[in-house]
Amino acid sequence: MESLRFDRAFLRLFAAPLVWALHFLAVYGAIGIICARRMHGLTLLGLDIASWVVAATTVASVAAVFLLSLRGAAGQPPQDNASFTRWTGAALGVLSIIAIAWEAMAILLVPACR
Amino acid sequence: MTDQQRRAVLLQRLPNALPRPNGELEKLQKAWQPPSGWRMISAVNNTYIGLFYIGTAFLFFLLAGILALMMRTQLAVPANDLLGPQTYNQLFTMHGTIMMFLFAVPAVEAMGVLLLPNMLAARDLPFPRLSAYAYWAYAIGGLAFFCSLFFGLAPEGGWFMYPPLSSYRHSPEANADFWLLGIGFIEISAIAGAIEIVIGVLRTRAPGMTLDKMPVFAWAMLVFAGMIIFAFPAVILCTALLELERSFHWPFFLADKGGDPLLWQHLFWFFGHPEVYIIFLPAVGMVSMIVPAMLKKPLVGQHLVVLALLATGFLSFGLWVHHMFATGIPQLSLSFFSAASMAVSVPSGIQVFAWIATFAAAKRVKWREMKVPMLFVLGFLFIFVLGGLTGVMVAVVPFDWQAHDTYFVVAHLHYVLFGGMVFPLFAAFYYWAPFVSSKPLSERLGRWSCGLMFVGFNVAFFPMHITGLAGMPRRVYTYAEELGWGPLNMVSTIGAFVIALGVLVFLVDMALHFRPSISKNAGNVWGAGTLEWLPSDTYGVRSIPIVSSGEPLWDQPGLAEDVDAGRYYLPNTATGRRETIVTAPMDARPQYVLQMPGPSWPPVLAALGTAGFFLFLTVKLVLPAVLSGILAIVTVFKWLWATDPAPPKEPVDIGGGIRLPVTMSGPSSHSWWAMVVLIMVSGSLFGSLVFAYLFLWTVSPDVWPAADRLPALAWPFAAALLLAASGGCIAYAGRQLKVAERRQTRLQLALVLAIVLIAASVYVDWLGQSHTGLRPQASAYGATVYMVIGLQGFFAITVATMAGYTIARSLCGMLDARRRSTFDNTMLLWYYTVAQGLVGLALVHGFPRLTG
Repeated sequence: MESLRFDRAFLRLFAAPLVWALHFLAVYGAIGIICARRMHGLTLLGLDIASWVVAATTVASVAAVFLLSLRGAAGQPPQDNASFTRWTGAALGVLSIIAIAWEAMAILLVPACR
Repeated sequence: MTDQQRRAVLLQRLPNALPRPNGELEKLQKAWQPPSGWRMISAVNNTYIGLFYIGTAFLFFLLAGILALMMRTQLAVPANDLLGPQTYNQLFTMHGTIMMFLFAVPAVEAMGVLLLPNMLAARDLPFPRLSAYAYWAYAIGGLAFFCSLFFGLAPEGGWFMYPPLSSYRHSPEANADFWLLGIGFIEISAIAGAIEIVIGVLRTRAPGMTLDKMPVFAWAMLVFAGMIIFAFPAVILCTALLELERSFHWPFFLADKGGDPLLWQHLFWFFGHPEVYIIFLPAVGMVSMIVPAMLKKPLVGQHLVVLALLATGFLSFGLWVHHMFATGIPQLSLSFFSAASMAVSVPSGIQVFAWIATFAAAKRVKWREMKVPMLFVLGFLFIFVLGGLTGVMVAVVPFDWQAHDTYFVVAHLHYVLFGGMVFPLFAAFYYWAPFVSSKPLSERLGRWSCGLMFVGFNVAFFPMHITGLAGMPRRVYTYAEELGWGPLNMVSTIGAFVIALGVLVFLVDMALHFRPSISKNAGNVWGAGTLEWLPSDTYGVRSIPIVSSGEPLWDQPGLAEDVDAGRYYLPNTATGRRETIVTAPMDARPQYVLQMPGPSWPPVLAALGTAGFFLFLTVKLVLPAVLSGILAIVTVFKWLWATDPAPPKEPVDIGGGIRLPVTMSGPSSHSWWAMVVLIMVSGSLFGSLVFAYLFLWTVSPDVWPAADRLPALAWPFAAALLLAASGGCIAYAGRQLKVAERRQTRLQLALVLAIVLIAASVYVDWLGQSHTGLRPQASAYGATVYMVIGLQGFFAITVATMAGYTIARSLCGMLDARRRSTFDNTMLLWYYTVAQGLVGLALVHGFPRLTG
C-alpha cells in the first residue's frame, strides 16, 4: 500500500526532529513543574533534580536520534530518491543533536528556578 | 549516436504519438473554458483564484502601508497632535494585524496557489472549490474587518492582543471582538489553503518528479503548509478562549479566578513565532527559484537548502518563549528558548551560504546587466542578514531585557519581515510576471522601485535601532521634545515616504505593463529551468511531462515543444471533463485520473455566508447571523452533493500504454489524505487545549478540586462506553458497505445509532460535571473542564452532521463499495472524535485524581 510506505518513509525522515521536539517539551515541562511546585531543593548524589531530569532526557534523546536516523548513514551526497530521504533524515539527525546539546547545556550555566 | 538519432529514440519512447486526433485540443479547451464577464467570480481554476488572491493581498499591503504612513506622520515631530491616542492605538493594531494576517500569509499562500500546479505540471490544485472558498472567505471577511476602522470599532490592543487589556474588564466594547472573530475566521481560511497545498504537492506532481527532483519552492510550500497545520490551531484556540471570557466570563485569563494572562502569551506565540517562519520560508523558497534562473546555474547545495527548510520548520516551534523573556519565567527555561533561537540560525545560515555559493559559482554578472528580480534578491539578502543578526542579539536574554518593547524590536522585526518577505515577494512579482502577463514588467521602472524601496527602508528602519536603544518605547503616540528622539524620528518618517514612493513606482509599472493572460503569456523570458515556464493555457500544460531532473527545461531537450504538441501523458480530456493525474507521494508514479469541478457558485456563496455569520455575530445581530449561517450550510451541502460522483466503470488511457482508473476511494485517495490532514489540525487544536489545562494547573493548583469533589467514576465510564460504542457502530456500518450493496438499511440504522450514542456520551459527561455544582464562570478549572466538553460537543455535532449527510447519500443511492468517500471521511473523523473524547475523559477525570 503506497500510503503506508509513505508514512514509514516520512516518519523515518522526521524521526530526529520529532525526538528533538519531545526532548524540548520534556525539559521545558519538567523545569516548569519543578519550579512551580518548589521541588528544586531535592538532590540525589549531590546533583539537583533539575540537572538529573535534563541529563537523563538528553542522553535518551541523543541515543534515540543515533538509533533512528544516524545508524548506518553514509556521508555521501544523495544520488537518487531513496538515498535522498536517507541522507536528509541523517542530516536532520545531526542538526537535531546540535539543537538538543545546545539546549541541554543551559543546565550547566544557569541555576534552575531563579 | 548523433543528437538527431538520440532525439529519434526519445520520440519513440514518449507516451503519445503525433499527429493528435482532430478536435482533441478543442475539447480540452472547452472543458477548461473560464467563465467570462461578471461570472468570473465563480471561477475556481488556480490561475484565476491565484491572481485574485495575490491582488487582494497586495491591496491589504497598500492599505496597511497607508496606516503606517499615518503613524510615521504623527511621530515625525515631538508632541504632535495630528492623531489622538485612541486613533493611534487602532492604527498600530490594524497595521500589524493586517500585515501579518491579511497580507503576509495570504500573499505567500496565493503565490503557492498560482504557481504550484504549473510548477508540478498538474492542471489545477486537487480541491479547486476549496481554494475558491478560502479566497472569498478571506477577501470578504478581511475587507469587512478593515472597514471597522471607519466606525472607530477597530481593535486597539496591539496585534497580539494581550489580556487582561483585551478582556472584558478593560476593553468592554466590540473592538476586540472584531479582532477575535475576524482573525479566528481568517485562520480557518488559511488552514483550508494549507490542506490544499499539502495534497497538491504530495499527490499531483508530474510523473517522475520524485522528492529529490521537486523544486525548492514546492518544498518550501510543503513545510509552510505543515507549519500552518500545527501552529494555527493554537491561535484559533486562544481566540476562542478569550472570546468565551469576554462574552460569557469564563475566566481563562483572570488571575483572581485561577486563570493566567500568560496562557494567552504561550498559545499566541506558539502560533506567532512559527508564523514568522510561515511567512519567511515560502519567500526564501521563491529566492531559491529566482537565483538559479537568473544565474543560469543550478542552486549549489540544493539538498542542503531542502534540509534547512525542513529543520527550520521544526526548530521554529521551539522559539515561542523568546517573545516572553520579560515575563518572569525561570531563567533556566528562558535559556532553553535562547539556545533554540541560536539553533534555528544554523539552517538559516545554510541557506544564505547556499545562495552566496551559487553567486560565486556562476559567471560574473555586471551590475548594469543585473535584472530586477536579482536586485530585489540582493536587497533581501542585505536587509535580512542584518535582521538576523539583531535577532541573535535579542535572543540573548539580558540584552532582550534592555531592548524589550522599544523601537529596537520594531527595527528588528521590520528588518526580518520586510527584508525576509516583502523584498522576495517583489522579486517574485518581477520574476513571475511573464508567467501570468502578456508583457513582462519594466526593467527601468523596476530598478527605480527597487532602489527607492531599498534606500527608503534603510533610512526608515536603521535609525530605529538607535531610537530604541535611546529608550523610545514602541506604540507611544507621541513623545516630549526634551527626550531628543525628534531628529531620528523625522529621518524614519522621510524613509517611510521614500518606501511609499518605491511602491508607487511599482504600481505605475503594473498599470503600464501588467496584462493578465495565461494563454498568451510572455513566457520563459529568463530561460529558467522549471516546469511553470512550459507553454501553458487555462488547462495548464497541454500534456503532462515525465520529469527526470530538477531543472527539466535545462536538462531534457525538446521538452517544451513535446509537451505542447501533446506527446506526453493525458494530452486530451479523457472523460470530457476537467481532470488531472494523481501520482504516488514518494516516486510520483501515476495512480489515477482525478476529475475536477468547473466554475461554481456555491463556494462563493458559502464564503459570503460564513463571513456574514462571524461579522454579524461580532456586532450581536443574531438574526442576520443565523440567516448567514444557514446560507453557508445550505451552499456547502449543495457543493458537496456534486463531489464523489459515480466513476466511469472503465479505466482511461493516458498514453504510453498506461490505463488509469478515474477517481479512487480508500487510503490512496486524495480525499482520504485531506481528511488525515484535517485530523492533524484537530489533534493540534486539542493538544493546545490539553496544554492550557495543564498550564493552568501548574499556576493555580488551588482551584483544582480534591478527588472527592469530582464526579463519581461511573459518569466518565458511562461516557467512555457510549463513545466507544458509537465508534463500534461506525465500524459495523463500514462492514455493511463492503459486504454487499443490499445492506444499505443496516448501514443507515447503524449511523443513526452512532449519532444517538455520541450525543449521549457528551451529555452524560456534561451532566456528571454539572451535578457536582461546577460552573464554568466560577474558576479557571471550571472553564477549562467545560471547554474540553465543549470542544468534544463541537466535534460530536460535526461528525453527527456528516453521518446525517452520509445517510442522505445512502438513501439517494449515491453510496456503494466503490463510491464510498463520503462514508470514509465520516468514519475517519468519527474515529478521531472517539479518540479525542477518550483522552479528554482521562485528562479531566484522571489527572486530578492522580495529583490530588
